[in-house]
Amino acid sequence: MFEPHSHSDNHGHHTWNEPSKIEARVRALESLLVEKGVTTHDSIDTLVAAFENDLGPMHGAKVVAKAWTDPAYRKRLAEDGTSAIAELGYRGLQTEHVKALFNSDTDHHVWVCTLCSCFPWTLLGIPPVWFKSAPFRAKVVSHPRSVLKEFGLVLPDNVKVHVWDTSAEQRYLVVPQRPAGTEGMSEEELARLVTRDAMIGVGLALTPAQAGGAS
Amino acid sequence: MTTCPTTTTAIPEMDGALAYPRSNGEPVFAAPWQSRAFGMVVDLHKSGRFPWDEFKERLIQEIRAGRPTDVPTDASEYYYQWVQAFSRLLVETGLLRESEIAAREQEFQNGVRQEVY
Repeated sequence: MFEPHSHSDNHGHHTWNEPSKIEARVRALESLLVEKGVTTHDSIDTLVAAFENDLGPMHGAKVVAKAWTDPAYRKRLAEDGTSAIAELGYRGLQTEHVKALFNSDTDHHVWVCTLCSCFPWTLLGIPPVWFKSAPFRAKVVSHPRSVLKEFGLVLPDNVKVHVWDTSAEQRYLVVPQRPAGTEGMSEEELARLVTRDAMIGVGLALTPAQAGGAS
Repeated sequence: MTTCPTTTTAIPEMDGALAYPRSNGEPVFAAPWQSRAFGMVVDLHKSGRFPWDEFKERLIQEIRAGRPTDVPTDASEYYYQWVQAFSRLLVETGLLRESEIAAREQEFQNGVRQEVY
């Protein structure tokens, strides 16, 4: 497969869409490279996540970090999300009416756009592919816990899950809980713990250890 | 106040015919194998196994060999070429042998091996 036309089953671009073969190839490469200590599954995961996350301004993360560190700001954000976000200079298209949803030990918020794929670009960058998928949009409303589980987020039974349906007029921003062990961290450091998934509500903020693995 | 996550700076720019597949400005991985292939190349480059251009040159060759008149717009085709370029690079730099890749690939294809992890 390396040298074009060196194998009878390889005709360059004619075989490109044969998924089982290409999948087998990629698995083979990954398993061999990991065995030889050239890479690790984790570091590949981290890079893929970084690429998928680096799709636009993560202003939302700074809003969350400020809410974690500044109680007065948190209060303003709770009362009037739009104005509190505008305070940081983030305004404009698609963030006109933003309501901040605060996660706690007893309540977890997740938002979705069931009608289309409204997304607060200026706060969260470009929407992830799954956000626009019809199955996700339907299932998060009917079976939020199992959707969250698919994202690797298992919440205790006593935590109530609230699903919010966003629209062109009303946007949401989930403020995840501040992770433990972050007491001494600056706002800027804290913002790096806030993922897009956490602000949609399909994930939690990263722990410092998790974020450290990503740098 | 425009700090970016440190990881992202390591992901090299690709433009023109080499641009990552995007849909409406959004990078597209149509299947997990594509993101794994992407991650492996960037990871090995980051850890100093090869200069980015070594990979890039081979990707250009693959794209030219595959569809000389088309800019690849389909993510599967692009990442197919990506995997071909990467495979060649691994063999040519001595990181893997062609025979062991072929053998391992066969094991995944016939189900002898199923999990990468």
